[in-house]
Amino acid sequence: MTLTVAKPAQPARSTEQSSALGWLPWIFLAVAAGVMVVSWADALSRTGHRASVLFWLAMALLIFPAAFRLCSARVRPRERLATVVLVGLGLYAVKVLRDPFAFTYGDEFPHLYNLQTILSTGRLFGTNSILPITPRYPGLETLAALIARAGGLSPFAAGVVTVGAGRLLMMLGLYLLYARLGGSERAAGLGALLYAATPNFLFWSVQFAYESLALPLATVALFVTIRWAQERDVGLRRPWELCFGLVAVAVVVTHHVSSYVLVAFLLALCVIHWRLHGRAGAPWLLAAGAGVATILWLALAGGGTVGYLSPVLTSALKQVIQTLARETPARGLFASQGGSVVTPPAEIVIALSGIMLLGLGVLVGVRLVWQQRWRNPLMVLLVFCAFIYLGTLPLRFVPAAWETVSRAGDFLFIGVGLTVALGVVWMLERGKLRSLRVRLLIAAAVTIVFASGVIAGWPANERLAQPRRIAVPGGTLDPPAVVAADWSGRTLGPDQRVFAQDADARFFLTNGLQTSLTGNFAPDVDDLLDAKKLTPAMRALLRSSRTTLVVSDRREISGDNLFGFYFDSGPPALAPAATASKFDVPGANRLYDGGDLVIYGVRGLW
Amino acid sequence: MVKPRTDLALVMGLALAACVFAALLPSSVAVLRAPLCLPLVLVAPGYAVVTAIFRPGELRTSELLTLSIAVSIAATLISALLLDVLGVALTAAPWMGLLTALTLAAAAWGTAHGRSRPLVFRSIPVGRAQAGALAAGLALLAGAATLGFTPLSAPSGTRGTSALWLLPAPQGRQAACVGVINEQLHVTTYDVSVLVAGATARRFGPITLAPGATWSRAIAVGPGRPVINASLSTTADPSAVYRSAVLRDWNVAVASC
Repeated sequence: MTLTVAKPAQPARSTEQSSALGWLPWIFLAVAAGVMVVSWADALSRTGHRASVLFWLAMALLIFPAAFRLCSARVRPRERLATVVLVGLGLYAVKVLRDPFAFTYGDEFPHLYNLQTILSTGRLFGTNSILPITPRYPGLETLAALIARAGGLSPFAAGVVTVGAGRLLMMLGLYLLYARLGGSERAAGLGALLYAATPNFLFWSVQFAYESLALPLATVALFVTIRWAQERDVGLRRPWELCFGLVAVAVVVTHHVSSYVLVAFLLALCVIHWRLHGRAGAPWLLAAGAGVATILWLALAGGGTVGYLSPVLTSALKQVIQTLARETPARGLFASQGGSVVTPPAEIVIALSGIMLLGLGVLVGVRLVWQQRWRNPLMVLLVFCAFIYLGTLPLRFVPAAWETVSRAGDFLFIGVGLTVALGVVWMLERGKLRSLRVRLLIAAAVTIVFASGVIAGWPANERLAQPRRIAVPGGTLDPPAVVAADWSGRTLGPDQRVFAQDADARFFLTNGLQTSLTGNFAPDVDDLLDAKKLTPAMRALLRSSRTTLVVSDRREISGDNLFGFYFDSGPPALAPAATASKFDVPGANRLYDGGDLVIYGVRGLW
Repeated sequence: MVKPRTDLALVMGLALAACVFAALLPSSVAVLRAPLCLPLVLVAPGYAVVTAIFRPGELRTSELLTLSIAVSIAATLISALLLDVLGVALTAAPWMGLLTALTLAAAAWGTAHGRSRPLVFRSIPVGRAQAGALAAGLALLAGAATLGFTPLSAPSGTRGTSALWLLPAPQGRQAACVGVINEQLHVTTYDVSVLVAGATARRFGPITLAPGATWSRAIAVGPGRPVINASLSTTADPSAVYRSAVLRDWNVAVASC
């Protein structure tokens, strides 16, 4: 076995070792203050006030003190690990406080529905009309279901705990992986903190969706691979092989892409090992085990995965080629889809600065790895990942590739975190750069890199809470679409087949427990809802899809699965009245009139 | 009461206790159930398995913690798949029973093979300033949670609405149900008018509803499934039809109203 692995890092000797907790109480205080400030900012935002300054203050409180502390050489490993975990959980709290009453991310609704189905039927592998592939990978929902059952929690609360466990595991796994691989607890702490600069880290990666659990498990699987490789004795490898097998199976049953990435990563590791040190000693067994589990699952349970993923990937690839050939206009950076939300200029400056600092960090880290660790296959692979990450940044100009690149970044950034951290530690350890001022500057740079990720990751007006549940005299109110969806489930019973706009469809799925159909593909629901006339072809579509209800919501925001889940503030932009009134014909029952939102019973139109 | 002397004995005790608590405590007391039972899901099975398969001292505490959580999650998922394949419903009893059995078996195996570690409780010296920082941090977190999970008043300009609904009565009765949901941000008074086959059958009102409150009535409509029109107006503008609903062909499956 020659897979080179750094020795376990030793705790630094320190004058501060007299205090077992070190700075931990102060880091905890800073993180708690950050969480308090973001809660305040959310409260202001929910009541219609601007609070972006407070949001950024909270982010600084969460990152800067921890980064400054982690730059120090005189910190015990446990304090470093605890700091990283505190920051990770503090950043998770930002997402939880943004959505304190219900899930509001488009992908969270299908997963919540899967969880509700497991809880109500006691069975796995149900159906899901919005994301049909999700019940075939039930890991996240299964864990949440047991948490709900064991803890007596609501599905929402169980989901929050489940994703929180995933975040805890991610921070632990990253730190241990980096510590083993980099041979430096200091680099491990900084690397895990830098990983928080992944554009998706703050919000998207902690939504109640399968990758939020699968990626942390995959990270632990990589750590186990390193520890396996470190053992020379075949007998001593057995426990690691068992751990790897269990964790890899958990990844496979939780998320398709994460399992493919894990297998690809291990295969790449084997190939690099082969090139550098020969075939013997590479983790062929682990790669084969993960590969077999993935293929078996694909064959036995995940049959629709290829059909689900291939259009996304082929569309991305096609548009990359078209953009290079200038046949398709490039996507505008720092603007939301459709360009409705534009990033403030100050944030653009920070984002670009962060990217430049990140690029610089990668270059320094690569130089160091080239000199010192080029024989370590996993280190080489992670450096490749860092390069690929930087290389994929221009693809953010391509509309169809943007989402794929953004999601790939979650995996590739594992390489960026360690590469940059090794570079930073190398700089910190140079004689002239040990001063307090340098640590302050590096902590500031880490904060800017993190802020850059936040800016790239989520639109400016979506980072803080929106009015999802409001207080009224004597109680609370939910948005009208939620009330309508609740009503449909209560009075009409579940499993109605419903045509609805994107955001409404999600409410009807989880609140009404209906079979919601939406979008513009098989069936083309959008076309039917947006048309001003009801044509015979549309009646045929209703019949062929056995649709019993049509939810006509004239609010244009109801078609937006990013912004469409809240109360309207001010008069909403409306579709023409004819888009709704076309259903006021014989054969259709106007069952529910909520103003802009009307529910029609359409069985008579079949 | 016997105090556990090793980590695996403690894990066995906690697993059994969690199983008992889950069986005895009702779901409504999540405040008690969650902290008592969730360790069985998230830590105990993994801890027992990992401690049983590794030699003592082979893992650092952080590694043991990480693997315990990851393996616990894996055990939860694999046990669920097993139960599902066997046709056993994923309810608390069989699921937690299986996890408890796994935990006990692994812990017993580990104990028999000398893998358990003596429980040693070390006191951590905490200075006054550090204790103050920790207390202040906890207070801030409590404040953040209180503020964050409290519904607040709507932003100015938030639009409320009202909904009128009309359904056939369930089970083929010769009746219809009409209802109002007040989603306005304030108390609102309504009038409801119902026409059966074009003739006014019933008027209801004034109906005063608090925000979020609902009102409904069943109306006998006679045989033949006539067309029914319902309209809603507010006392603020009684002449204008604010909402309307129509039951034309009664081809609607209704669960309850």
